[in-house]
Amino acid sequence: MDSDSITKHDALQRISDLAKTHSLTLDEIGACLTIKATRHKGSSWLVRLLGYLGAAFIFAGLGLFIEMIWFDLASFSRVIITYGAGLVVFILGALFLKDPRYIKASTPLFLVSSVLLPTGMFVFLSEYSDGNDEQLASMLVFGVLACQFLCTFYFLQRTNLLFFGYLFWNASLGILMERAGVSGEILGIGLGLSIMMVTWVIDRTHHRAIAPFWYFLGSMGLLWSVFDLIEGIKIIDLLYFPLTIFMMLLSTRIQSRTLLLVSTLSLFGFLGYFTDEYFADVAGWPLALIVMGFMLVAVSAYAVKLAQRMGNKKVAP
Amino acid sequence: MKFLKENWVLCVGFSLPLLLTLLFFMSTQIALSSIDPPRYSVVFYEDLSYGRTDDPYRLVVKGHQLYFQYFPLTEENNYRKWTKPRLFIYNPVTDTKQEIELPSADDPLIKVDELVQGLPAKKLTTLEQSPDGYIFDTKYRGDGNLMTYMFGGSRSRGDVLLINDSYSVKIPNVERYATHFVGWLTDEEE
Repeated sequence: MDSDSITKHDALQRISDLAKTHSLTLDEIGACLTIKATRHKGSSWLVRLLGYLGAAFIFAGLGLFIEMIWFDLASFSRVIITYGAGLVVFILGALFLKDPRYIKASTPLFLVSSVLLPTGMFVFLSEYSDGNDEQLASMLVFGVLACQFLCTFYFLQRTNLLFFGYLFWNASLGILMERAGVSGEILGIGLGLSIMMVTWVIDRTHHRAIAPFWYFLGSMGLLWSVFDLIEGIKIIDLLYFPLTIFMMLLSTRIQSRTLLLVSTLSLFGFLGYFTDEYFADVAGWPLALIVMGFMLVAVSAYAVKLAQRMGNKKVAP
Repeated sequence: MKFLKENWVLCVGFSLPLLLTLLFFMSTQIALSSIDPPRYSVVFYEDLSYGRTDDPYRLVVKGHQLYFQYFPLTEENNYRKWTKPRLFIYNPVTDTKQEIELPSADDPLIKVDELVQGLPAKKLTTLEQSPDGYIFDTKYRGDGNLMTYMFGGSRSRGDVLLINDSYSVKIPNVERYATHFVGWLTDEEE
């Protein structure tokens, strides 16, 4: 703290001396700093955009080329051109993390590999397997990829690896549950709860950047499935109301605006369902609509208040 | 143990879906253990124009035997290209599907009414339920939600099944919307 302030003080003193020596005004210094900052920002933005565009063109060109020659390729070549390329890109992504100059390139490489690897594995199964069970194939492919990405994440601690690994894990697990005969609603509730719990842990780490996405998916899946389960069952369906309120309060506890948004929207939806289910055929329907309107306004105001209360989260060491 | 105590949310999060899977799998297996698997072969056909009363191709069961009929086109039904149905037998014991060739109807002006050869020498019964209690049914599984659409793995698909209570056997490689039941192949005395 002290060393910082001394350095800053010294720097300001030197700037002041230079300004006096060369008769520089405050406006001239400000203008110079602004121009430099803008120029740097502009060029970096442009370079990044062109870089992404270039990569997208290369990827699209390769894809089109492969598509054009696809039917001329033998089975082995098809596997090599998809899975082989994906594996090479994945290894490159991991190797680039060792060199500080190329660390930023690892994320797009892992992204590309997360597309090429499953594609390649499906191509392999399509070429060499005659089981004709797409669901089993998907479960195996995503299961293997989940292991691959999560194991690599364990050693490299990269957020994008965790994201894709967890995505493949859920894809594989969802199919396993479906094949075991778990009904759609229970599958959604179980997987939604699981995702929310795991995300809560992720949200307390340095990988929290992916937490909003998973909170969104988990809470949406959970609330959707619960609604599917109790929809149309008189009295029982009213339990959805306390559930959404609980989710709103939970969102403040775990400090997630995404969860707050999803639970608030679910509450809006439920209020619409509730008035339609219980008041649509009575004379007071217009009155019920007005009451619902007031309730929506109240819920919105409450949600905004809750969102404002959320501060910064602590991150686990 | 220390890890479990410190990361119990993570552990519960990962194990909850696995426990549900195990629970449902076991309950399904227990229910299935009390039902015998299907024993009788089923005869069915695939026909995209099924349900039209003016279809020139027909499969008719007469005296426990299957006949293929073709009626020359008239002005009334000569408005489209009709396709000949394809006949199949599915044996649930060996889990095999076999196509049976139908009599020729190459000349569109000649009526055909012939016994279908190639079926096993068994009694063809058109009763909805087989002697061992199975029915031939189609099932469309479109009852998904966000989670099943994203992670359920091609859930919205149609299957053709032999069903007896909670036990079902899927007939492989058939189109749900174009598949139609003909009958069960049973022993003569049944």
